[in-house]
Amino acid sequence: MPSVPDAIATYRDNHIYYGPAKAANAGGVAVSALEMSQNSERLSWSFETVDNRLHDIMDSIFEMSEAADKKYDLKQDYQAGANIAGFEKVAEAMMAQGLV
Amino acid sequence: MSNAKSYIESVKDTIQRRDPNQTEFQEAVFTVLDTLEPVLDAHPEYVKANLLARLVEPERAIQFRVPWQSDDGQFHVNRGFRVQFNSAIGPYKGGLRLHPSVNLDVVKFLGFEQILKNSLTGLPIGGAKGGSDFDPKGKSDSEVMRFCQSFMTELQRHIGPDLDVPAGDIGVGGREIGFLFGAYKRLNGYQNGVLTGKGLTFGGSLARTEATGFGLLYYTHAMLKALGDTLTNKKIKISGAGNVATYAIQKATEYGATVITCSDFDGYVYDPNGIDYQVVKQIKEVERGRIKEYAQRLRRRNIMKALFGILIQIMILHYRARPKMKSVRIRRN
Repeated sequence: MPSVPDAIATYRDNHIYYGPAKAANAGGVAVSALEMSQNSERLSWSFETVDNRLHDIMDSIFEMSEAADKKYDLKQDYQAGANIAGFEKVAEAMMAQGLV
Repeated sequence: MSNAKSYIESVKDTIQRRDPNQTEFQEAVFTVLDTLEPVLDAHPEYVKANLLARLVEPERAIQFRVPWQSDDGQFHVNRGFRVQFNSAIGPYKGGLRLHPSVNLDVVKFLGFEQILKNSLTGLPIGGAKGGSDFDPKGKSDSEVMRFCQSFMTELQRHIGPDLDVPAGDIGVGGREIGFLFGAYKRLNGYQNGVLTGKGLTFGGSLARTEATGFGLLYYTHAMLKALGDTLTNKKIKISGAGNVATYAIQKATEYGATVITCSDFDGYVYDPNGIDYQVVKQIKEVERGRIKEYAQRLRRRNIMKALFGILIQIMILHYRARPKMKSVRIRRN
């Protein structure tokens, strides 16, 4: 569960870097999606293969959040960065698919 | 007020007017919308297309009756939910939660968060969430099985490997996924991509158990690296002692950090020399015990109990509501 808004404001006031839940705990659903990939190709990957993919995904989640943070000059607000990075992809896909 | 700002406020007003009692959902959505203003400033076409009004409205919210029989022969009825929030980038994906606190508000809150979380993974999965107000605590295996079979008898008409792929969450672990999968298979035939978190003998993935805890530390490591720092010699306080915390402690220890606290609803432990994740794993995973047993176990190795646990260097897990904990502080002599 994420921190309540008051808690997040407190982190900001005290210059504590905050990694939001949706970014920091995305490893679970990421490997769930890798389980779907393995199911559809009827293969089981090794522990190392899955763990390495997970590591790459988590690095990329932080990099995407950081890139959004820089693009919109958010001053290391990784929560806003994560929201924006997640939103941009969904928004582009929704726009492309018309009013549905 | 900028155009983007006033548009965001109008979307919030609509949510508040339509669902004034969905306070968890409102808090989650408002927190996100407030951070999107610069994106809308850069993309006026999103405002024109009324994109946010579509984003905050689930594509589908299913509520259903889940009748089941307890071992003493009594009939019970729980409420089941599946909120299929957004399928713009892939099939709906999100966990099932079994906990008395589950209601439409909570499921919508979690489903909305799931859209952005799943998008962040870079993988093609949309956002969803589901569950029931059934409490698995104190129920027999047979009762849990009957509940899961009844739950899936309805849920199966709404899910599929390319449509909606539920997973576990609070109260839904390997045992429940097994029962749910068996019930789905009996009705629809073997399609192993319909649920994730499966056992390793029927389509589960290696490293799924470790994934959230390991991932948490990979993320923390990446953040520290960007700030020109490392995990080595950091002192970490973790709240939690379940699956995520256990593997977070393991990975943190491998990175050379020291995890000095962890906790469950019954108390917390403070070990300045570093929590031993193998002891935590033994207590929580094998014996299904409480974390306070850690203090009892290590006292035999000359650790004393005192009153307070302190120090937060990196905060890893947060709970919205902090349960009142009995303080259990341990200290080596």
